[in-house]
Amino acid sequence: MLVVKDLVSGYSETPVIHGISFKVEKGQIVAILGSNGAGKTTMLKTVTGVLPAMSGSITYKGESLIGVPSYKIVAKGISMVPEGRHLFPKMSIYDNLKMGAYSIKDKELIKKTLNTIYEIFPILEERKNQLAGTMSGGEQQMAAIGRALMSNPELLILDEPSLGIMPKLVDEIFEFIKKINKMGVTIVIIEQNAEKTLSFSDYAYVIANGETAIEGTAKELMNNEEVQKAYLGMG
Amino acid sequence: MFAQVLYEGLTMGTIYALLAMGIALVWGVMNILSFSQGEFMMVAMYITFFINKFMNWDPLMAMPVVIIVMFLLGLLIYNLIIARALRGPILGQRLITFALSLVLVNGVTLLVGGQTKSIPHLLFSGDMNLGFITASKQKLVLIITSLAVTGLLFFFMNWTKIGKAIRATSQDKEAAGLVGINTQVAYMVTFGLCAAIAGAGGCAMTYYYYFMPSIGTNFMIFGFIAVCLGGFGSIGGAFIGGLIMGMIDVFTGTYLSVAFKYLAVSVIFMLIVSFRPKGLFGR
Repeated sequence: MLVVKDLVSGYSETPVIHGISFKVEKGQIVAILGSNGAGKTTMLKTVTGVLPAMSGSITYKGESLIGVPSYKIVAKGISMVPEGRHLFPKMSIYDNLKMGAYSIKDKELIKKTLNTIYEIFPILEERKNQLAGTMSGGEQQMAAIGRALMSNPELLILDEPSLGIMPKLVDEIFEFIKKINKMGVTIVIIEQNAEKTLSFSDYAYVIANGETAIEGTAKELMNNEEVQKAYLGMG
Repeated sequence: MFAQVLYEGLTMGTIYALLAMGIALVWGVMNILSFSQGEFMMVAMYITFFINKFMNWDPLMAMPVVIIVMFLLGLLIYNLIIARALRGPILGQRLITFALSLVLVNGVTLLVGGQTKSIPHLLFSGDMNLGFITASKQKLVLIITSLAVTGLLFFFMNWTKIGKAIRATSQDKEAAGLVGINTQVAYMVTFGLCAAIAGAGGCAMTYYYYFMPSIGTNFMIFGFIAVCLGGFGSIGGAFIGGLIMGMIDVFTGTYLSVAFKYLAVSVIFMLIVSFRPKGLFGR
């Protein structure tokens, strides 16, 4: 579905990532792991058109995404929940969700999607008139995921969804992600929380120093002590 | 007497409010300080003047045309100048509209001369005697235009899709791109809108004011301080800030001396910066 090959990118003239490759198959949950500063967010920003690629290729359903601006990516069926949530703070939750459907013209479809999201996250319906900026981190994360789902994506990319959220709520967020995957949405999840993420992923890539260091099924990586010690700070 | 001064203050205040809302809008969305906002008003006054001269249209009739022309001019200026400045360093972004204002003042002087102009025959003129005040009908046109523009702007920003997209872009540009908003278009429309607001204001101002190419500069400082007073970026705050500035202007002019009005606003500006740096309504 999504194939990234030898991607090089960064800020101004300085590459932060030099050679990241990964592949996402339809229906999977793919984890991209790595410590802080490994280049995960830079890679994501490049895939979603926020940053330009210096070299390498990004293809989605056989179509190149190189040079496609970020506002056109969402119409292709890719939606992203950015790190730090990035809600519109002075808009209500309802308006935030509606903005998520900006690229969709069919009003009936928007209504239907909104109801589905309210079913997944009942708290968003309870709080729909509250300003997004006044909600807690966990609630904001749910709202950010909800907003990303409003465009009916086939591929949902989540950047560090557990960051800045109470440990108790982290498990809950991960449960929601599994649920969304069961509904047929392919998922790419970028995380530092390797152990928990591997527990529900199908396939995983570890990024270190701006490169794909190692890859394998989640089970393989979970059982490989060396990998855990070297790259994931576990064990 | 007091009620009369209040009426005059309201008239001035609505002009400052229109200026301030344009400045606040552009600042809030793209962090550009629109020093040329007063000059946009001036250009609109001349467009109104020439429409009146050659087609004999009253400014009120010309207003929709002036608004559209100014909107298009705003889009043009955005694409030719502002969009490029936004790619460069911050000092250039801050000063580019200042340069633009000088070009507009001098350009208009070059084209039509520096002498004062006014519009001779107006649809509404004279005074209404309301007992406690004598209200000039011409000033009433200004007040009503300003209130109508403010109402329309609020409607646009809160209820239309593009208005919401502009608000979203001002709150989080990256997220706006991710949900599918073309933020470049949002910027462009915002700048066009700011010129269109000045268009409505300038057009209405010809109802009461004599004007020359330098007229915008006189209003500018009041407009900017109104924005600071209201809290940068908040359109509602800018509107109220504008009204307050109008009152300060007219009240110091009437009860103290016209010479004191710049002193008064400058002192108030310093007080805001010292004690309420985010403005009266900023959080």
